[in-house]
Amino acid sequence: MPSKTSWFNKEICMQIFRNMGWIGIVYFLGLVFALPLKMLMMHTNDEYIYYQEIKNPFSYLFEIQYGLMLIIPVLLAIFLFLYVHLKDSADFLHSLPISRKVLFNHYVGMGVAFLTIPVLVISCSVFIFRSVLDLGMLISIEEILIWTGITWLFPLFIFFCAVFVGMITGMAILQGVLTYLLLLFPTGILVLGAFNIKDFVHGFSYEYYLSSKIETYSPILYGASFENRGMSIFAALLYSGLIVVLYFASLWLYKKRHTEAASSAMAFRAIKPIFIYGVALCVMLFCGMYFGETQNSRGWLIFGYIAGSLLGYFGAKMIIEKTWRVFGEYKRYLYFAGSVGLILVLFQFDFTGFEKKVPEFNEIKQVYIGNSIYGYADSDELGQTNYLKKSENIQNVLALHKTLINEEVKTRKENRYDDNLFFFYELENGKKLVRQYNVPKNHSLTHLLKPIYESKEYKELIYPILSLDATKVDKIAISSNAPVNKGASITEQKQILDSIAALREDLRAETYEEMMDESRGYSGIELLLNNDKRLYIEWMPDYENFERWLKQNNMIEKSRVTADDLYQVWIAPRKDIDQNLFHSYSNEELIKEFKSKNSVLKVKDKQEIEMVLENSKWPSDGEYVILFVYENGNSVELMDFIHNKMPDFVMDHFEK
Amino acid sequence: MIECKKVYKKYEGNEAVQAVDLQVKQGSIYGLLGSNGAGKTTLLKIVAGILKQDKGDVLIHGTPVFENVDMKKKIIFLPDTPYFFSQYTLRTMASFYSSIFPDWNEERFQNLQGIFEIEMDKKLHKFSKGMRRQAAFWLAFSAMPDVLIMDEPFDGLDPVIRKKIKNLMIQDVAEREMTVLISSHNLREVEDICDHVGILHKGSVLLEKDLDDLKSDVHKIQVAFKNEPREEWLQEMKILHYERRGSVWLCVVRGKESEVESHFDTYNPIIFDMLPLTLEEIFIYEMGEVGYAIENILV
Repeated sequence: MPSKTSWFNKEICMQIFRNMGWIGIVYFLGLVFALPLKMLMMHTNDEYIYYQEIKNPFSYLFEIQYGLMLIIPVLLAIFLFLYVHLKDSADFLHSLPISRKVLFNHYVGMGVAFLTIPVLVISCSVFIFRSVLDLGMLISIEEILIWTGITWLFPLFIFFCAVFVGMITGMAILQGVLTYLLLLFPTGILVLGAFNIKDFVHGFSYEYYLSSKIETYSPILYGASFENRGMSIFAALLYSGLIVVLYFASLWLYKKRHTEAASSAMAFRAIKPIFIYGVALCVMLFCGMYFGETQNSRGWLIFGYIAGSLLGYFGAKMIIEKTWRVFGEYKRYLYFAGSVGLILVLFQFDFTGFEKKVPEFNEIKQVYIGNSIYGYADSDELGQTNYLKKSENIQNVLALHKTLINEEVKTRKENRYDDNLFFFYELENGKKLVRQYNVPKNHSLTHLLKPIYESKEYKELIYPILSLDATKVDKIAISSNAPVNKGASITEQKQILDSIAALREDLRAETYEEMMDESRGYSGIELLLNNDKRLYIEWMPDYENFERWLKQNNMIEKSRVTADDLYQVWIAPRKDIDQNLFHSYSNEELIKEFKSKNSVLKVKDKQEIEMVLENSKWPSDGEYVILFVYENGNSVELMDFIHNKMPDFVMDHFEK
Repeated sequence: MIECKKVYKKYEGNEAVQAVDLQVKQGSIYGLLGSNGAGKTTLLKIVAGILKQDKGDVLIHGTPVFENVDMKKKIIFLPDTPYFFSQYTLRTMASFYSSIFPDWNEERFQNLQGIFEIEMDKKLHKFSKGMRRQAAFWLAFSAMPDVLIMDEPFDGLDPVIRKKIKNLMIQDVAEREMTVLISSHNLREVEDICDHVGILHKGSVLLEKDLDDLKSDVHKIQVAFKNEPREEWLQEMKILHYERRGSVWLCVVRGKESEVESHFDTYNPIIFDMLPLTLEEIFIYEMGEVGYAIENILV
C-alpha cells in the first residue's frame, strides 16, 4: 500500500536545504555581486567609458560569473551526494524506507532548484535594473533571456556531469577531479592524439587539427567565450540532450550501485580497468607529447611513452587500491605495453594508407600551399583566400607533394628550425585533404618550389598589393626597421601611384631565391586604404625599382638606414667571438669584444657599409658575424650575411 | 519472520558472509555472536536491506527486504556508530523520523524523555558517543518498529542505561511481538535477554541454539564408583567432556536429566552430583574444537 506522497518527502528536502542550502546562497550572492550590484556600481560612478564594453549581461564581471558556473555545480553535486560516499551516511539513508529512485530524485531535484532559483531571481533583477538604470540601449530584452537560458542550462549540464561521475566513484575528491577531467577530455584527447600521431604518421597536419576549433569540444573551454559568442542552438540542444541522458544513466547507476562502494575509488568493478588503462594511455600520450616536443628526438619520445605509461598505470592502480604498494601486479601492464607497441608498429607501416595518399589532379578544385596554416585559415585583409586554382600550379604542387612523400626519410629527420610546408587541397567533391611536412633547410626542393613561388598567381596571393586598386591608397608610410628614428610618408596621389608601380615591378621580378634568403627588410611599408584598412609589406634590399624611385624623389635618406647612420661596423668570424655575449644586454662588452680581436674587420668605407647593409640578415649561425653600432654605441645590432652573399672585400679580408 | 537462506556476500574482496542460514521467529530476541571480522555487521546490514546479498534469499514475513519500501517502514537498523544529519537536534531528527516511519509514536517519544536524559534542542553532534547512542535508541523505540536490528548496541553505555534499554526492549517484545536481532562479540552482554543465539565464525553460522533448550540439555556430573566400570561405559552416553581426578570423574553430558540419572544409576556410583553449568561452559563443551577457537567471544 504505497502512500500517495511517497515520491515527495518534505523532511528530506528540509534536510538537504539545511545542510546544502549554503551553496545555493553562495551562488545567489556571487551572482548578485557580479550583476545587479555591478550594474548599480557602474551607474552611481557614471563609468560611461566602460559602457561600450557592455555587450550583454555576461559583460558584467564575466570571470566571476563563469567561475561560479564552473565551480558551484560541481561543489553542489559533491556535497549533495557526499552521503553516498561516506559509509555511515550511506548506511543510514539506505536503511530508511525510501526507494533509491525517490532518494536520488530528492537530491537531484534540490540541486536543480539551487541552480535555478538564484538565476531566475537575478534575471528578474537585471530586467528591473535595465529599466530603472536606463540601460535599454546596452542590453536588449532578448539578451537578458539568452543570458538566463545559458546561465541556467550550462551549470545544470556541469551539475549532471558531476552527479554522473559521483555515481561512478566512491570518493568526493575524486568526483571533483574526475568531473573536470571529463569536461576537458574531448579537447584534451584530441590534442594529445594530434601531437602523438604527428610523430608516427608522415604528413599528418597536427596544426590543422588543433586549429579546427577543437577547443569547443570541451564544455569548459567552450563556455569561456559565452560573453562573445553565446551558445549555439546546436550546443544548447546537445547539452539539454546530454542532461537527460546523464540523468537516466546516473539514476540507473545509483540503483545498481552497492552501498558498500562508499569510500572506494571506483564504485563498479567494470570501471576499474577502464580507469586504469585510460589513465595509463592519457599519461603516456601526455609524456610522449612533452618529451617529444621539448627534446625533438625519437629516443626521448619512446622514453616519454615508457615513463608515462608506467606512471599512469601504477598511479591509477594506487588511486584504486589506495596504497602505493601496487608494483606486484605488473603482468597486465605488460599486456598494455605490448598492445600499444603493436599499434605504433602498425602506424610505422602506414596501415591506413594515409601517408601515401595524394589526390588525383582532376579531383582538385584548388590548393593552398604555404609555410603556415594561418595563411589558409584567415583570408587576408582584402578578403581573398589563398588558393591556387591554375592547373599549371596545381600540377606543380602535386609534383612537390609526391616528392615529399617519396623522400620521407629525408623529410622525417626533424630539426627544430625546419620549415613547415602545408598542403590544403579542396577537392571537387567538397572534401578536403590536409598535409603538413617538415622540410629541412638543407633539403633542396628549389627546383620544385621555384615554379610555384615565382608564378603570377602565387605572388598575387602572397602580395595583395599586386592586385590592389592603387587609387584606393590614401597614404604610404615607410618606417625603418633599424634602431634609428627614420621614416617617410607619401601622400600625393601621383607619387603614390608611381611608387606602387615601382614596388610591383620589384615584386614581380623577385626570384624564389630572393624570397627565401631571409634578408632583413630595410623598412616597413604600410599602405593606408580609404576604407580604413591597412596593407603591410617589407622593403627588401633587392627592391631596386622602389629604391630608385625614392632616390629620384629625394626620400631615400629619410626612409631607411644608410651608411651615415652607422657609427661603426665590425665583422668577425663567429668562432672568435664569445657566444655568451650575444645574449647579454651590455653593448659595451660586445663592442669591446669585437675591438679586442685581431681577426676583426672594421668597415669604414661608406660604400662598403652599404654593401654590408644590403646583404645582411637576421642572425642565425653563419660563419661571420656583423656588428652594427648606431649613435655612439647606444644601440647595436648583430647580423649574419645572407648565404653566399658576402661582399668580395670581406671575403678578401678573411681569406688572406 | 526473518529468514536467511544460503546467503553469500563478498565485501572488499573477502567472502564476508558464506552460505548463511538463519531463522528468527517473531517476538524473539536473537543474539548474533562472533569475534571481530566474523561478518556480523555485514549480515545485519543485509537483513536491514542496506546491502544486497550476492546470492541467496533474505526474507522478512516471506518477502525480500532489499529496496522494499513497505517492509523497511517497519525495520529500524541501529549501527554501531549512530548517524545523524549534521546540525540536527533530537527534535529535528524526530520530525524527520516521524515523516519517514508511518508508525512513529509521538506520545511515546515524549514519554521516553523521562528515561533518557538528553536535551532535545542541543545539536546531536556535540554529544558524547554514549549520549548519541541513547538518542538513537530513543528514536528507534519511538518509531515502533516490528523489527529492530542492532549492531553492538550496548557499547559505551553505562549499566543503568543498559538495564533501562533492555527493559524497554523486552517490554516491546512482550507487548507487540517486536523481533530483535542483536550482534555482539560478548555472550555475557546478551545472554540475559536473548532467547536464541547464533554463532558466526568466518562468515558462516557455526551453531544456532535455543538458550532454554541448551541449558536444560547439558549437565555437569561428578561421579565416583566403588567398582570401576569398564571403559565402554563412556561410549554409551553423549559425553561432551570428561576428566578424572583420582577416583572422581567429572563429565559433561548431553541428554534429558532423567535419562542421564538412570544411566549412571546402573553403575552404582558412590558419589553422584549434578552441578550447574554456566552458558559459557555449555558453549565451550558443546562446540569442542571450534569452541576453543572462538573462546574469546564467550568471555
